[in-house]
Amino acid sequence: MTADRHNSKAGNQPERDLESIRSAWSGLEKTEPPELLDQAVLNQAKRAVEDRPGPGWIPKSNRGLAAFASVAVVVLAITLVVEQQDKAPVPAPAKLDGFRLDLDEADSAGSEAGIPAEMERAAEESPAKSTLRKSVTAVSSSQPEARGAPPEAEPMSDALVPQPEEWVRRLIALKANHDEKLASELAAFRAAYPDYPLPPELED
Amino acid sequence: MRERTDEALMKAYAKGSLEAFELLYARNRGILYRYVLRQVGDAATANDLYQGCWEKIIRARKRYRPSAPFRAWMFRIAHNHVMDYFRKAKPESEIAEDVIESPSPGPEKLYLDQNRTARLMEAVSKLPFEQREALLLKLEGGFDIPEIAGITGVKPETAKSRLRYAVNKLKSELGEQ
Repeated sequence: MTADRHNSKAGNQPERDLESIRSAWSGLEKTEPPELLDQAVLNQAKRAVEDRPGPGWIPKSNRGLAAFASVAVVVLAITLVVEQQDKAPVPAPAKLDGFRLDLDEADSAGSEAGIPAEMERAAEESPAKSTLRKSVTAVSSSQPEARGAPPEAEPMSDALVPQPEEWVRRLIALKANHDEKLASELAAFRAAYPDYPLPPELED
Repeated sequence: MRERTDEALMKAYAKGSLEAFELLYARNRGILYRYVLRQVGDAATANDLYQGCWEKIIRARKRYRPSAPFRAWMFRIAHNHVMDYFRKAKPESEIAEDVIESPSPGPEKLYLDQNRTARLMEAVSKLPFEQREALLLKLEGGFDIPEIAGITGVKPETAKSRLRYAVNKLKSELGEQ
């Protein structure tokens, strides 16, 4: 019983510490953005909903050309993806166990708290796992050119989330292959990069 | 009259209601500004980044889906924007270290004495980027662990441990251990 009480006390300690920091934090001045900045943002919001063509606006007469250009870009992207897949080294699973262990840690707290499923998927179902595995495979393989290649730049905390350009290329390839994973990948992409404009062929 | 939710306001703005945006902005300007300011430390950079965040929010208005809580969506955009800033500001080799400290305590500090609040600010500015971010999302945004995980694109365990490390470091810095 005493042990239980002790454990429960210890379990609450982080909460109490956080509470004490929160209380000190509430004493900080509630800094607000300067008025001029507010005005700049509000003006920007106003301009955006006014019926002015923005820099990305395409005159009607050129829309056929724009559609053609989009299709050409898609074809080029698919060709590049297919070529890269052909060149990809054979996976070496034995070297990857440590990474798998780390990446596959079970996690259920997110769904319990009711956060949007797509935001969870962004962290967990992104194509990043396969990306990381592929890059680790490339480094650990015995091919000299792979070993000598510089490692891919990994951005800080979300090192597991691919860069948007790379992810979009993969989405386009999934679409071209009528892959059923497209919907979940799209949702994960949107949660990770909410403001990133998708090419028209990937929009609903 | 029932108050409109942030999600409803964002949808209304996407359909062209500037009034909805004004209300939405008034509700969220403070927490977003403080999140950015306390991440980067100096007001001039914070102002640029803050305006950039809203620019992205405004541009993405038609892509917003009310299934995602507006604040979590807004902070995800802000998180990406601040990360981009740090990526550009620091050489990649340093970024890979996983620890990005605030450049300096910033002008706010000049107005604070050697009291507990000042020490708290100083201690927060010394935290590694990711721990500081988790703490700020908790204290400024009022998010819980799964939401912090969703915004920062990590697993809840990771978000929880970042927060725990941040709290422990602050405790230690503030001499409460």
